[in-house]
Order: sequence, then C-alpha cells, then structure tokens
Amino acid sequence: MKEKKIKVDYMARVEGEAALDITVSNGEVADLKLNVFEPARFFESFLIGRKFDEVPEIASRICGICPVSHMLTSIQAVEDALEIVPSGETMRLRKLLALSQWIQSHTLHTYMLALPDYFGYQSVLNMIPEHRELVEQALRLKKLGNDLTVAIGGREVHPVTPVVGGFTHVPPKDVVKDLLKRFKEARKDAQNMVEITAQIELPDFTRDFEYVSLTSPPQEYPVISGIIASNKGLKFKKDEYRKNIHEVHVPHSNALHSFVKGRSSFMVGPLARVNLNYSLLAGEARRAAEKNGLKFPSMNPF
Amino acid sequence: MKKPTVGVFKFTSDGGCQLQILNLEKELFELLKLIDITYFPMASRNFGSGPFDIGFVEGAVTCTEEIIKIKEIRKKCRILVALGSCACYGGISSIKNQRPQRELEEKVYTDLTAVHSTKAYGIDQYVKVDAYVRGCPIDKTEFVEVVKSTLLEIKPNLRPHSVCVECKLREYPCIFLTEGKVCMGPVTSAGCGALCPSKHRACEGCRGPASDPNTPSLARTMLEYGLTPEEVRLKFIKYAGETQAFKEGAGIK
Repeated sequence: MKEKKIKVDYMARVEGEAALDITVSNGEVADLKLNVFEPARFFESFLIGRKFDEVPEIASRICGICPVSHMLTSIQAVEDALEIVPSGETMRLRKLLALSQWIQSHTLHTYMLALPDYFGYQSVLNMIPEHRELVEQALRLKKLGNDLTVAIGGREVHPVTPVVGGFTHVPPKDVVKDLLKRFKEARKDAQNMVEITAQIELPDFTRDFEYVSLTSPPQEYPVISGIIASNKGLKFKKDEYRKNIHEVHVPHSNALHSFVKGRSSFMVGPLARVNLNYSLLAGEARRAAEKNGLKFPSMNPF
Repeated sequence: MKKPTVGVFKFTSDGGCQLQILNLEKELFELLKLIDITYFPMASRNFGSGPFDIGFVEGAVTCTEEIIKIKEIRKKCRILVALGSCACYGGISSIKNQRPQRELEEKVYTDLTAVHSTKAYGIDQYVKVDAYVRGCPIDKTEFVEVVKSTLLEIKPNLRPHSVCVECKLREYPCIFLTEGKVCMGPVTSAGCGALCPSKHRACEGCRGPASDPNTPSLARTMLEYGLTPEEVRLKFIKYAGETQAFKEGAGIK
C-alpha cells in the first residue's frame, strides 16, 4: 500500500488561521484533518452578563470579513427574544446592508482569494502587472459593495448604525440616488465577472452531499429571513436549530464541527443557497448563468 | 532605492483590520509602488521570511505559542506597529480576562485538555511597540499615514486627543448632553472622525484611552445619568479593559 502525507502548515488566502493534514492511500484520500489553530476567543462565555444592546456590537467582532451577518443575526435574535417586530423599512434596509456585504465579500473571495490559484499567481497583488484591468474591475466592484455598506451602516468593517429595533441613522436621498446610478453601471462588471469565472477550468469533484441554507417562504431569494432547509429533507424554523444541528468539539481544532443530527457534515454558503433557491434568483442573474452554461443545482464544490 | 519590505501578521483577531488594508481600493496601486509586501497570508501564499522594515501585527496575544511568535516577529522587524485595538490593548478578546479561564472553557468546549489559552493582552505586554494604530477596526487613512511617515522617517501624525475634540470640530450636536446618550467620547482616543456620534450613536470606546483621560470623572457622570455601577463597568471593560485608565473608570484598582 502506497501512503503519502500532505501537510499544509498555514493556509494562505483565507480568513483565520488553519492547517490541513491529508493522508493519501493508493490514490484515495484516506484521512483529512482541518486544524483551525486560530486561538479561541470564548464569545459564548464572555457575552454572558453583557447588556442586550451590546450583543450585536460584540458579536460583529466574530469576523471582520462578514461582520454584517453576525450583527444582523444577533439583532434579530435579540428582537425575537424581546418580541420586537421591526418595520418594513428597517427590514428592507437590513436586506440591502446584507447584500452590500455579499458583493464585497464575494468579490474579495473570487478575485483576491481564489482566482490567483486558478491563474497561477501567489496573490492578487502579483496579478497587477499582467491583469491590471481585471484587478481594477475587482477593486471597483468591491468598493461599490463597501460604499453601500458605508452608506447604510456608517463603516465598511463593523457597521455602527444597525441596532436592536432599527437604525440610528438612514442614508440621505442623494447618497442613495448616486449609488443607484453606480449600481446600474456596475452591471457590466458583474456580467464580466460571471463570464470570467465560467471560463475557468474547474476540477470535477462532483459527489453526493447535503447542503443547507435559508429558503422561502417568503417567496423571495432568501437573504435575512426564511426557513432553514436542505436537499435531503431538512426543513425547520430558526428556533429549532439546536434540535436539528449539533456541534461537536474535535481535539485537533479550535473551531467546533457541526453535523445534521443523525447524519453527517453539510455544506453551507453561496452554492448551497443558489442550489436550493435557483428559481427565486432575479431574472437577469438566471439569464447570466444560462448564457454562460452554469447549471444548478451543482454538486461540484469548486 | 530598494523598496521597504512590509509584513502583515495575524494573532487572535477577526481579520477586519487586515481587510481594511485590502479595502484601500483607491490607494492600493500607489501604495504598492512604494512598499514591497513580502508576508501577508490573508492575501498571498508567498511567505517571506524577513527581515521586514515594517511589521504590522493584528490581534491580541492569547496563548503561549503566540507569546513565542510575537517575540520572534519583533526580532525581524525594524519598526513594529500594533494594528487595531486587539494588538494595542487586547481588544474584545480581553473581556474574558475578567473571568476564570476554566469557567470560560467549559461553556464552549468538551475536551478541556485540548484547550490552552492565556489572558488576552496587547502585544506590548511582551515586546516593544513603535506605533499604535487604534480602533476596532482601524481607520484606513491612519494605516496610510503610518506607511507614509515611515517612508519619510518621521513621526506619524496620530491624534492623542479625545473623540470629543473631533466631534466638536465637526460641529456635531453632543448626544450625551442633549439626549442623555451615555458616551465614551470624552476619554476615547480620536482618529475616527467621531463616526458613531455623527451617526447618532454613542461612542463605545473602541479606540482605547486618549492621552491623560479623566475616566473616574466620566464614570461619576455616567452614574449621574442613571447607569448602575455594573453598567459603567461594562462600558470600560470592552475594547481596552486592560489599560490602566479604563480600569480606573471601571472601578478596578
């Protein structure tokens, strides 16, 4: 039996610190350990005893790349506990704020964290001499997402205006109008992004797995509300999360591992969400996918 | 002239301050003409071994491995900059320092033999630091200021005064006096442009103490405005609870 070990001591271009140990036996992956050695911070413990209105502010600091998600999630959790029903305007602004982070974060992921691997560079910074236009396009899209986060939230990393009950400040009309114009112009960049990523030759790692995401109702592409579902029959409300998903502490990692109860690990994130909600995507997004030969659901994590 | 080399290092933190570097969408190209970033794992898999002219450290030191690592990094960097409130003071992670470690661990993990964590401190608990870029997260323009002044071999213009000064200069109405929103602005270091008060929200002290702050006086005022002693303590023990000034505000000797 031929056995080979691959050890990646420090994974680059991800948020957080992790190592990867892979054991390959006769050409098959026999064992794989993702060791998140990023030291623990104990949010679950030190949040106890804090005031309710500090929770979103502190929980936001779980991640500097997706602070909006942590902030909006904890705001909604506190509101549910206190039986506060936010206004329609608040919910629409929150949705827009969440989308602004997706634009920033997905652009960061696609161009800056993933693309250098496919293009054979060490980083996006090394791509500048030969792919300047592409990098400029990435920075333009990223900035647009960030500018919308700033307009609504006050700051791109760890916004300050979202609070339990609503917002402390809403963007003035002229700022919104200006952004709307820029977003219409940015469609070209976004279309181009789909074309570029569709042309990349991806490893075919198609296999069966469970993916979990928010889904409707309400009858719209889920961003900050909905029920939780999977392709293997999960369907539950957010307050039933602990009944359906359990977390396990594995000794080789500081990050807890989550499993569907009675089953196995699962995938979350954009692919899971598109797979479950493809028909709810905006027409233009679906047309862009069809035009470029992208089919969903996709069982290839690449 | 050889371009100065720059390293960006991560300790216990959320990556937000490093992202602020990548968020310099307008300035990034210009900046890269002047400096050579040779270590920045979040952006590149080129792991340069140093030495570095400037080392930016994000994050608090919260375990023995990190104590060893920060000492090694110090040796490799001519100028060492604490990037963000975690590296400056311990940041949000330092809230945990108020509780016994064992109690913290039991709430999160099942196998405690696999967990090893020390109290969370800023990096100057262990090494000499040449400059502090405060904030949770940092202000991007202050990062540029530190790079620029290092290139010019001059002292960076980082503001020592309080958020109140910036708030007044921008003529924002005082939300503390007019609306009774209890604000950390009087004792917190400026540089954010009084962002929170400008958005109708009280300052939470994310940039740590300003120079010579009168924290016991602010704590007394907070009590007059109806906060309980415990609520006052929570205000000071958040981003910079390990600093002497904020400890005094919290009523800790």
